[in-house]
Amino acid sequence: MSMIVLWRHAPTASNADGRIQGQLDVPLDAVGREIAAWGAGRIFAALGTKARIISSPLGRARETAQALADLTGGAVEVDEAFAQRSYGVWEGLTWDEVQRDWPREFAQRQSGLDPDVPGWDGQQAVAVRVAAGLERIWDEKKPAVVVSHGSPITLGLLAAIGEPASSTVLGRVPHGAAATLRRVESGAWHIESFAVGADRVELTP
Amino acid sequence: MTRLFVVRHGETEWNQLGLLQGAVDIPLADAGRKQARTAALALAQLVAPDAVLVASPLSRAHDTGLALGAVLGSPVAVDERLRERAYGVWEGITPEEREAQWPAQVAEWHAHGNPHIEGFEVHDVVRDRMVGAVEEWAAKAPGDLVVFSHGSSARIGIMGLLGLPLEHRTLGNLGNTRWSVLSRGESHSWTLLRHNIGVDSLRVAS
Repeated sequence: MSMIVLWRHAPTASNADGRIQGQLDVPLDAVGREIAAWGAGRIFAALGTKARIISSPLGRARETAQALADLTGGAVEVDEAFAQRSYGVWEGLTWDEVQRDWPREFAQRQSGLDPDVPGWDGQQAVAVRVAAGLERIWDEKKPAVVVSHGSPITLGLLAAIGEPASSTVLGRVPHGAAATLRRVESGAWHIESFAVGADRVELTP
Repeated sequence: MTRLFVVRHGETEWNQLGLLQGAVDIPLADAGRKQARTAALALAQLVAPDAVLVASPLSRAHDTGLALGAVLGSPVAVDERLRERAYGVWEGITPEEREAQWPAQVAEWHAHGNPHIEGFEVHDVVRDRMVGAVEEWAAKAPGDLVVFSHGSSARIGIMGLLGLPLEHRTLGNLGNTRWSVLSRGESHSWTLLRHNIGVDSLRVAS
């Protein structure tokens, strides 16, 4: 059975600082590289060498994808359909700064709406772009691993299951975690798992 | 904020044989008991220590809940409404028998999930009792709520809480001893945070 794995890039130093990245190209930090390697091992164990590896153009996504390509010996294809949205003039700020300096727009964002922020990519446009990318890469015989970003993954999944982009039924996949998606005969998409790899525990045998 | 964990029971012999169990009380297999114990050790680190635990009365789910109760030192309440969907005359027969005797109903089942089968509990009925049970327990739980239920009723319950249409499997079934996590925000609506997570989906600290 085929599937698409939507894998959110592993964390960066900006993620650790709570800074909004958007189009800013920030590399993975040491923790991010470790999480990417763990996720790559898990995906490789499940899919072996048969999956296409597709990535958003940003470095943090390509680095995460490369961790899997290092195991499979395959190549990373870059696809703009899975690029991060732009956060406009908020990029580089922390969410605390946004809340302090843009209270009205922050509240819009919290309630699931697009804030009135110069340069902001609207959620509907992002949802349609990602869902079109998923339709295009779906292959009943060949699974695909797509490395993307928090907003595009949630918005693309919402569009795939026919929910509006403003819906709050799905949270965000945490950094370095993944969702899996399948398309059935009727053309409907099924979310098989969400946020795999997000939690850390200590297990003693 | 309330977090809701929905956990499916461990493996039974009928799961291994691919039989629909529904209302029939089939116990955990040895492998299922082991799964329940391992899942309990992981869940005990993910849920709050004062989490409220509630299980379906069917032993496969109740025993899976008791495994977490033993680790946390917490009681496990039983709620009849968390039981598995009844499959009527389809319970306990093989997929081959089902296909051979009820081809039209199997096609209905694949198309929208509500086949015309004697004793088959339809989506709306399963949703109403599952959502009713979760909402009632969530209102009483000070923090986290953990419910132990079944493949079909858990999926329909989660989709019902999220307000998703039930005809399509927008969300897949949980595997044995896999769980989902939902949270409720200020708007009172539920958000899915995790789905079909098992011990093998967790990063293990070294």
